Amino acid sequence: MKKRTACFLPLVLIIGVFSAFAATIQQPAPKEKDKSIQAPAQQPPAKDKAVQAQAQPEKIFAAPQNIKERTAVYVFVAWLWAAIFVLVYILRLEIKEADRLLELKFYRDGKK
Amino acid sequence: MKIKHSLFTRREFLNGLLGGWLGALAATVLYPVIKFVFPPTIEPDKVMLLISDYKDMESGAVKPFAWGAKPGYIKKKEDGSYKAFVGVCTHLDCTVSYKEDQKKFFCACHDGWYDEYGKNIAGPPPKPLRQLRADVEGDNLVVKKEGVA
Amino acid sequence: MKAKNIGRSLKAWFEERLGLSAVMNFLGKKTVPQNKHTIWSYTGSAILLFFGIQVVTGIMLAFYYRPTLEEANKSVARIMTEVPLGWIIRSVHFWSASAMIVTVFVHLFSIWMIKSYRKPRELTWMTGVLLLVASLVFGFTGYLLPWDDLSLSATKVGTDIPRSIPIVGEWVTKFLRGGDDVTGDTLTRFFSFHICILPLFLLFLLAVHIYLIQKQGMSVPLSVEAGKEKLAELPFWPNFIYREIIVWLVLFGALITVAVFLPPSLGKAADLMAPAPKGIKPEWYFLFLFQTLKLFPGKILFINGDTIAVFLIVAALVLFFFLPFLDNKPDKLKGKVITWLAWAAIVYAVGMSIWSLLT
Repeated sequence: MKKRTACFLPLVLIIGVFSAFAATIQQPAPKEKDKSIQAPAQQPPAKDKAVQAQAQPEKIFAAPQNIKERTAVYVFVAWLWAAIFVLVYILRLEIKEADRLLELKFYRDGKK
Repeated sequence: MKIKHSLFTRREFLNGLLGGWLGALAATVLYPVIKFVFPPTIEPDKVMLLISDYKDMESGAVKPFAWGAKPGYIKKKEDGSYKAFVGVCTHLDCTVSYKEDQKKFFCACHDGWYDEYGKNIAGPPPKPLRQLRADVEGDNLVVKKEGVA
Repeated sequence: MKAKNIGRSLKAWFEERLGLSAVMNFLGKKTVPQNKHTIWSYTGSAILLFFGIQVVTGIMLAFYYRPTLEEANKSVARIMTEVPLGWIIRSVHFWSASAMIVTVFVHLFSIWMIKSYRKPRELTWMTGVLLLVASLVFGFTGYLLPWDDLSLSATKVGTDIPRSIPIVGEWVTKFLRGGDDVTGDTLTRFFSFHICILPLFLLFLLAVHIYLIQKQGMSVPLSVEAGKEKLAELPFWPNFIYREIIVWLVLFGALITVAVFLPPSLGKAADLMAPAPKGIKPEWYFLFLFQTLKLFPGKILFINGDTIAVFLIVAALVLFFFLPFLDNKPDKLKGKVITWLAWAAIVYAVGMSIWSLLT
């Protein structure tokens, strides 16, 4: 058991340092969202330039634009972790089997 | 119904499971990549032009305009109303030109010809030029896709 | 013909011409020593994972990014707002960069501590130091590309530092900036470095680094070598690779989660004529250097303070590069001092970085 938990140490270290800096560097949650630029109507060129000159937002925050996109993102992340947990489970079984074969000296003969 | 022997070994089953789930993860990761690399083409629903630019067209004359990122042509009909075409050749997407003297659209790439109504009359183009609606609304000439209210 | 038969004959066809089975057999026998330090051997491949992610996301970003003064900031804004899921791709690229550099430092310090650079692995260490430098330059050049106020200022400061080197300093700065000042030319130059020159350089170094590791095998730490137990070894395939995949999966999941919930923002386009904004800071991995430079007074005995600081830093880097030769008696006191130095370096770097963040 000890070895297995110790295996996660460098992982925890990397993730830990990582998130420590993330916490110190990242800005708080975005207050304004940049509106999506879907232009259904096109203005003739003269008008265009006028519109562009006025509003260049101070900062652009990236985020999903609407509730549908936000939900999609949550679902994506949830599914990603579900797949990862399943894979880790399967891989642990594979490791157990590979280690068992190693014990039996199964690989000594060059067989797989 | 019981079968005497397994269809696959336990090793094969576990390996299959591993491969399958790795594939599922790969697909999950590939989906945003594909979405990113193939963005949707943005064609405008409508384009607003200033009627002053097109008011003084002679009957039967053709003038170019910008339909989103594609070239387009405005034609003034005999009765004073307007018709618009997407100036993209239906053969291999070259931009067509309008020949005033012959009253025909011409594609220089492979010698394709369309008549003044956009119908393909000679050369390789398989279909007529795509038609758009052009209606006068106040100060604007509004070009819309056909069939859109 | 069954698929298996087609597969077999195809394999034989290639084998006749490429003769790769020798390589495959060699790799098939690769083993990883099993001891209490084995966990650190996961750091190397973790770097590879993050680098791979950088290449893929970098290529995708390069599809839409425009490296000119007028369009750079706008194109990044477009990626974040218009291009489908562009903000995620940019966020992943941003976070994977930091992740890669963290992992490089962890990898570096673990090697330093367990002294894997002993003979015959000196070249592996030296290519590793160059890889570290390459990674940091990747970060530095990439930081300018969004062309917002903060990145412009950071680049101005960063490219000004070589100036304090006597004789060659001016030339170095001119080379980096494409002129005397940071301009649109600097941007295109940095872009060229970031996507062409550095990748080629890094891939070459990586090839040498990885070749050496495969050829020489994984090193066994001193304490284990001298020890009593039989040297336990784990076959790389399949035992170690399964464990490695687990590490990769968890790191990947963590990266994506952070990227999705903490995406970077974009400041407005940089104005070359505007005064420097408040609180300019380089990226976190340069903070300790930044703070070190700040410590030095303007002048020490007629010599420019900055010059001395830069000299010291370069000297430290050179000593660092030749560490395997300096640490020629690893089991004696000298060796222990060098290990202690590693801890001192970590404390120094972390301490300076935190100090820099707080001020």
